[in-house]
Amino acid sequence: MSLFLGTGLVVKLVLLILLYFSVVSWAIIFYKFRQVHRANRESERFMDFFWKTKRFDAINAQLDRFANSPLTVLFNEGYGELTKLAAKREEKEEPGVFSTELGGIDNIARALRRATTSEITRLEKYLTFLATTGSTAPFIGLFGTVWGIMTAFKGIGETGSASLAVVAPGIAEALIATAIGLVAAIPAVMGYNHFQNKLRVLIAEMDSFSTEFLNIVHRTFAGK
Amino acid sequence: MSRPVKPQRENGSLGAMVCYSAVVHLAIWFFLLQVSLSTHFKEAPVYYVDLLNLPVASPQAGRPDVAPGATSSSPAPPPPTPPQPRGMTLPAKAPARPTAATPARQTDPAETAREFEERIARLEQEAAARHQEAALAALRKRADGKGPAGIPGAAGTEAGSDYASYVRSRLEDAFRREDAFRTDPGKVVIVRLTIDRTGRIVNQRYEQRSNDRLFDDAVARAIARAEREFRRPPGGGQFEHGFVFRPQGVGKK
Repeated sequence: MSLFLGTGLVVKLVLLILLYFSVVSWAIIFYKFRQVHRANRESERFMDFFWKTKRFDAINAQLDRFANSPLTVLFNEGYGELTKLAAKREEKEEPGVFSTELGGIDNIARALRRATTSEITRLEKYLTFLATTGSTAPFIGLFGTVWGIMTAFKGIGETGSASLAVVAPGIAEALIATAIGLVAAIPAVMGYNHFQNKLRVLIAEMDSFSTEFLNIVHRTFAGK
Repeated sequence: MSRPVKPQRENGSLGAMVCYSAVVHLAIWFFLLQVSLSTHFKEAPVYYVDLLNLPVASPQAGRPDVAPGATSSSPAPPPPTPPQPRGMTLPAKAPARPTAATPARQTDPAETAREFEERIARLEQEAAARHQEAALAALRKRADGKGPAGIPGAAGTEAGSDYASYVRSRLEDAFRREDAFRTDPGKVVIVRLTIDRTGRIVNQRYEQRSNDRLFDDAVARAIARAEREFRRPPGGGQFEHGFVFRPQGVGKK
């Protein structure tokens, strides 16, 4: 506490900025941890349910059970596009049939791609703040330290004494800014790398699910 | 085909997480504060021991049987050296040492590395045993009370020094922290301190001031700081002595 109170105005400001970075970084880490954990868990459960259930409308009715999985959004979009195409065919007096020649599969593929993109965007939200904290917090802390040491040396010059008792407290107060900068940056970098890795797995799962969905649609509906 | 149902997500907001994070930071802050407070150790007291008169039976005790001003407590002077002859003489040749004694010390060229190591180990053991014996003998001597007791001029209660030196050293330590006022070596402040039997300063009389308010204030602060660590004067009476403060340090008057 005395180290913080003994610092100058600029160093105090730097420490407050770093505190803000640290608080928000940890909030994002908690938030993302919960989000990714739920997404992983419910994706696994959704895939089990998807392969066990033969009918799309039955799956569609149970989507709320897996709401946090990104795969449900993909299924929702794909199924929505499928129903639209089916309705269009029914209007043309060929109920339950649509042809690839009319671009039906392409429409569903585009809908799945759009859903994948929007889910990636949602899952990657706030991660840039972690990256920013990880890369800038040490420099901000370093700035505070440099400023603190400058002030300490100025004080030494004014008093005319350079004993350890005079020099050491000023440098100790200045170094705390670097320490806090590292304390803010290290968890942010670790969290960023961890969540990037988890997101890569989720994106791969989404791509795989899109392919599977298109295959099923192609096998079941096309060419009837 | 049924209409697609949009799944409803229930993700907690980031604001709640920020509040949670702030609480965690506060908790860590208070924890670190507690740890830093609990690990704040007390500075150990400094004892001053007269190295010239060591070893003593009990450096803390001094010599209570001898009055502080007694001169008989000073150590006996060394015996006078016999007068050297004035005339120039040639240095006597040292008798030739028998050569037969040296080969025992020399290393046998045929000695193996193992024998050499064993010999070194044996020598080390002998040296350690000698040191141990000497230390035990010294301890026994001290336990019997036969060792030199006390310090010349000691008051009987302080660690190897008279009380004025003790006070001076405490003042020196306290004054050393006033580095900011050591620029001009010509400043002098002379203070006569009166310390009561409880170790408190009851009177401080400035016999000379430096005409520099900052330096005078530094001296006053050093005295006030040093007073917290003063012990009781020996003999249970009052103590009075003058001290000279210069930017270079503190001396006795």
